[in-house]
Amino acid sequence: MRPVDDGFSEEAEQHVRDLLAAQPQPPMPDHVRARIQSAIAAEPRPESDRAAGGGRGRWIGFAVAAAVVILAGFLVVPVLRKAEGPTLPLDGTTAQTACPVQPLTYDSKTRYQEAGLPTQARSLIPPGCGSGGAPAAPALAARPAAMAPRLAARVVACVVRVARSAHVMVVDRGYYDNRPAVVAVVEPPLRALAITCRKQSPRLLEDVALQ
Amino acid sequence: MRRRVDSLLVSTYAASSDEELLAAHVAGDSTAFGELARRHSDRLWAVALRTTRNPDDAADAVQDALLSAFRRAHTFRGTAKVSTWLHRIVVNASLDRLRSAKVRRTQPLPEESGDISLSDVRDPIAEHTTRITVLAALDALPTDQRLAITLVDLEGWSVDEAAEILECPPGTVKSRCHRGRARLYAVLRNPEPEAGVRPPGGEG
Repeated sequence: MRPVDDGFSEEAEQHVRDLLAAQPQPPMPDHVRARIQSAIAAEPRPESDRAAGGGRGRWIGFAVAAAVVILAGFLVVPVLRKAEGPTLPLDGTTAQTACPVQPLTYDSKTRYQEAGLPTQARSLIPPGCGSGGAPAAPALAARPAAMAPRLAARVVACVVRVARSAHVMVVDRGYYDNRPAVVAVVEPPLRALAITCRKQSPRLLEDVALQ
Repeated sequence: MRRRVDSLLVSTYAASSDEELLAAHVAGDSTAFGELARRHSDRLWAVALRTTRNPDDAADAVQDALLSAFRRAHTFRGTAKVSTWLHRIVVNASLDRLRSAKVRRTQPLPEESGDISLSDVRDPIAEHTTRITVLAALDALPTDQRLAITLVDLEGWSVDEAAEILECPPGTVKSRCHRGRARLYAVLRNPEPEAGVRPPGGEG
């Protein structure tokens, strides 16, 4: 390779940049695009997605989960009995100690109130979760109903849009001050949000720190 | 009731951000990732093609990268933009392909390249010749310089964004770009195949 020209001026560098910028961008060929889309479509859903009950592998997911539960039941039941609070649906074998990386999505219809939001929101946090080791309030006594997968996807997208937070930990559809709303726990920093996910204008109603 | 509540929710991903699409995929939406891949396919392809210098390797690299992103989406923590994250995965997949194809033959500069004017390329034939020459000269650069120039000058990423993709300091990206441009300039001013173009099979 030829050594770099010491006399390479700013003007010359700009010429090269202009020349490069003028190069047309090669589009992905159709056959490559089709091949990749097919590969993505054929890809099994990640384990966590199947656990949520969505996608093509729904029934396979149920069967696999059932088999795992039966095989592992004797080992994990004592542990599960000690565990409190919400867990990923069909994920009972692993969720009792680990903080799930994908959002938990509930449809509890809980009536959240402004004054009690921090406490109510903390009750959604699975044991062991929360940045900085924030102490969680006593977890929900009963597991709330899980949200339907497609609805969950939309609600999580809505929360992400409004919260612009790195990690959505829990989402629960219910009411905030007597109006339909979604309450979410996000981090960092750990906070509780109340959001209306309206079609045209998702809106943040409340944003309170949980630290 | 259900229908009424559903109607309140965002019903389409047409205006969704990349972050929203990825979150939807993680939450179980079976179409969100396909939309994300489609949205970025051309740019990812361009980077892979310039990095690997071979369409077959580029296709493999983009496919590997997107499937990897599909599986690892739940690990995305939002410390970078989704597009940056995808490009980083594609760059790494492309470099893997490049390493596994060390003995690949590099296209030599075309015979008609000749000396070209850097300021006047209005003639369509001259434009075509210039494009071939520029891309061939780009292909002959060391991989690190080629990648930096591809991201910054061809794809329009900022130096800081390119640094995130390449996982190196911004100063390193600037330096690689500058050295690469200087080499391109030298080659384009006075092309000498034995000096400006890597010999066949020589990635180094």
